[in-house]
Amino acid sequence: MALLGEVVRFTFLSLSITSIYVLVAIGLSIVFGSLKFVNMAHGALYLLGAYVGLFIAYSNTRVGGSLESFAPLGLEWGFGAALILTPIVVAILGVIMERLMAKPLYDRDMLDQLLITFGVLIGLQEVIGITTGRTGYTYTRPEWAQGPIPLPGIGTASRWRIYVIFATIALLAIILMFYKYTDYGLAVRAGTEDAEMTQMLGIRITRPYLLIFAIGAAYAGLAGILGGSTFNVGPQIGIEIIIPALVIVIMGGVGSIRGTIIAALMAGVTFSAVTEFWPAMATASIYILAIVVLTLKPQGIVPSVVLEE
Amino acid sequence: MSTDLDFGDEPLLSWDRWDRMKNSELFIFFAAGAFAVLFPWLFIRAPITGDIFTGYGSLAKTILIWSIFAVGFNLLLGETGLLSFGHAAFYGVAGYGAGWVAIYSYGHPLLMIVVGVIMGAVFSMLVAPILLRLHTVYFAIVSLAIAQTLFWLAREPFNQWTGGENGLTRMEVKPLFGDVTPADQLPDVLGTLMGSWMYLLIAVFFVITIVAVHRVKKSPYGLIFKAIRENETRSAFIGMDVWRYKFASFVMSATIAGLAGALLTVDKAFVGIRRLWWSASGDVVVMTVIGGLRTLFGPVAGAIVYQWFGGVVDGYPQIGQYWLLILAAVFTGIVWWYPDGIWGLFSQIGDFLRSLGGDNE
Amino acid sequence: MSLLDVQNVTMEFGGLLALDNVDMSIERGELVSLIGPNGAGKSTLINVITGMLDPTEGSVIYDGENVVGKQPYEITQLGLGRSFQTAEIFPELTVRENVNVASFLTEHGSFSLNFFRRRDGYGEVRERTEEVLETLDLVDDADLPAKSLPYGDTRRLEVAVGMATDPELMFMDEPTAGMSPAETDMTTDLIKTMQNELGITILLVEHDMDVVFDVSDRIVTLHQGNIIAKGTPEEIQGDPKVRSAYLGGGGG
Repeated sequence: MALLGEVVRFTFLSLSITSIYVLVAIGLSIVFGSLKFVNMAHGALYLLGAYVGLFIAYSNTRVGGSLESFAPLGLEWGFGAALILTPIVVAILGVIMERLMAKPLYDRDMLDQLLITFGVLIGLQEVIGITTGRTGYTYTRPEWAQGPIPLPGIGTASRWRIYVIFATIALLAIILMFYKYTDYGLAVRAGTEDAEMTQMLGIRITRPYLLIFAIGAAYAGLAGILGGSTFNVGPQIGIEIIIPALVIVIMGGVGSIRGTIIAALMAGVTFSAVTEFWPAMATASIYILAIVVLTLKPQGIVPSVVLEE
Repeated sequence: MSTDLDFGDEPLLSWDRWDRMKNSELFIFFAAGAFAVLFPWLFIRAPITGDIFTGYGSLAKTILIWSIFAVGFNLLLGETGLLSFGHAAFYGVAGYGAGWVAIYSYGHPLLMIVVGVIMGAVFSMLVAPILLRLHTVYFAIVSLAIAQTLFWLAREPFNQWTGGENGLTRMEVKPLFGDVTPADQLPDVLGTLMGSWMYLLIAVFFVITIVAVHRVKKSPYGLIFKAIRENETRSAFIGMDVWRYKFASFVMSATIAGLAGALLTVDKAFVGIRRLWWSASGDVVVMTVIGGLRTLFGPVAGAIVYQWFGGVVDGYPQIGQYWLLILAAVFTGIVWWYPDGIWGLFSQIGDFLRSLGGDNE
Repeated sequence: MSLLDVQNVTMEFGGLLALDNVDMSIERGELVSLIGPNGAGKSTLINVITGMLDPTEGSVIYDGENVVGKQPYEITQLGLGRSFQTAEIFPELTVRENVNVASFLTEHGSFSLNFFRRRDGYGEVRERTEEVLETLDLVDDADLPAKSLPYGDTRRLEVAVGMATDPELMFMDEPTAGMSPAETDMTTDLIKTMQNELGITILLVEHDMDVVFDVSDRIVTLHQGNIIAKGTPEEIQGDPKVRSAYLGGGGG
């Protein structure tokens, strides 16, 4: 029974890590696949989510940077409120990002997009660091999220992990339904296949794209809180998450929701497995996995979009 | 335009002549040399570096090393259009290679450099088959992934070779010749201008790099690199084995990155894992872009600006903490609206002044 | 022996049969036009022949050699040139540089280029470039950046780049697309010059039937992946299958 318990524990660990990665990766992948827009600044949405969540949930006593004199700073509305409000806030920020940064760049070379969004990410990272300080913050999990849940017959699992996993499954289901069953989703899918044709057919793709962008942003913002609670919070977490996220997206196959999920699962399992016996190599193991996969399948696991040069 | 000094058909001093001359190799050689010789002296005394002189001597060396890195990197990014976000891998590998020579063999600076460069080049040939078949964006990201993996490997599993977090410190850099170690001051005027022998060593390699890259740009390879950048599909359809030329560009730029890395190890008698961290790769991208992608000297200007911000502005009161934010904004702005970069700005100013001077053509 | 012999080429994508047992040949010096409504498989066939796609079945024999499985650049080096429907040029390079790239690769193949030798030193390359520029009437624009050319001129440049590869067989994919009648006439003259004066064998994909009937020695009609008619322009004009394919398919 002890082995089963271990397996259960490992499963939930992997799935919770997967959840964070997939929530960040999914928006990135869809936007990359349908708008052919590669957005490194997506990491900033995760970063902003983590920080916005902090300042909604708590009253932070140790504030660094230029806001230092205003400490304690925060709304202190609680973790639950943060979980609900942060995605909304980040979705709005995502809309702003789409209008100001993404839309003007849709016709530009992907290389330019990469560089510009990279610059924006670094810039936002700096803004956060300057205003709130360079040292990290921590999330404290509320009572209702702590502790184990007994699973009859197989052991226990961390309550928090289960919530994260189920929330993620629900959110993925939502986006899948949107993608498959709504008109907007159809427009985005058609746009993935052939943006020119879609526009010529008179389908206004700006609104569905905006919506998709906002949803992806909201998910990334939520992931920021989840990740912030699981890992850490600091100005550099934007870049720290975007590298594996991008790797997962391309490993899974750009634009394919299925591919992204599969890749995130592979990454989550690998990461958790390696953490068991060699924690320092955990992140690197994801990269090695991706390198192997991409060497065998340069278009990714589920190639759904052939990227032009 | 022309002056009263007329020799034969063409006036001796004319803009046309200047245009042709400035592209000649001899000129590039002398310009690079003159720059390298005068740079530290000018930089230290420039009003922008503040009151403290001596501390910035070391910065001059760092700037020149990064210039080498950036000029080589530009072969890949500016000329061939391939963005590697993980070029620090070669910079770091070569740096370690140089360090290992000093620790396990005999640390003569030139030997360290040669070994470091070779290691950087060989490593690039090993990763090329993985990277070069990938589409542009994938290439950028996977190159970053490879560099990050190297970082993590260097930090822990291989830390007995790399010194892990602390790096390799116990190395002894032997004299260049006779009694003269790189840290020694140069004699007389040279010393006032350039400082140490180490600087001279770096300067020599700097000039070699500039001339070599210039040569490549003017060669058929240069044209082919540009063709790959402009239209890779078409390139294949005019009979180009694109992979082979991407490989050439990649290895060349990695070799030069390796040169920079090895030089740094010789300079500091130290190498650490920081060199493999993504920020080193990011730094060279920013420098090259800010300087101006399509030019030879642009990356040098970019390196100067970047290092000045990071090394000098960083120390200013009040605005010091904004240095990276400012650079990020400048970088973003340049890619977005003004890809010619700083060097492009200089060129435009130069053209403007020229037209003021009564150039009636 | 035919210069190009396409034998039993079938191309299947998933469940879709894009090309079904296509069999055709081109003799040296001929101009063969490939026509058919949109979606007939013309581009797919060209992509298979030039190496962008590997056919599910069949072979492509060029000058006695089966080129299936070869890379596009290898096939180009064997003597198959291609001009694209969209003007595939090198925008930031000058017109001359555009042609130069192709000339260099043609004169020197893959290896023997020395990356330390200045490129103004290669005489034969320069000659070839100047020849092509003259033939295509691009000498005046030679130093302009390619992106600054008007559309018709970029199409000409596109052909020039293809020509600089010294092709024996040239694929021209809808060269008159989007052209004015005057430009179309110029293109038609160019095609005739290429065939008659320069001795290039040409496979032309075209929708403009006037052009097709003007220049072609033979016409091959493709419909839904199948060749439904082959013959001289007169034979094709009278062929009921061709007519129904076009009227039925709504293309042309």
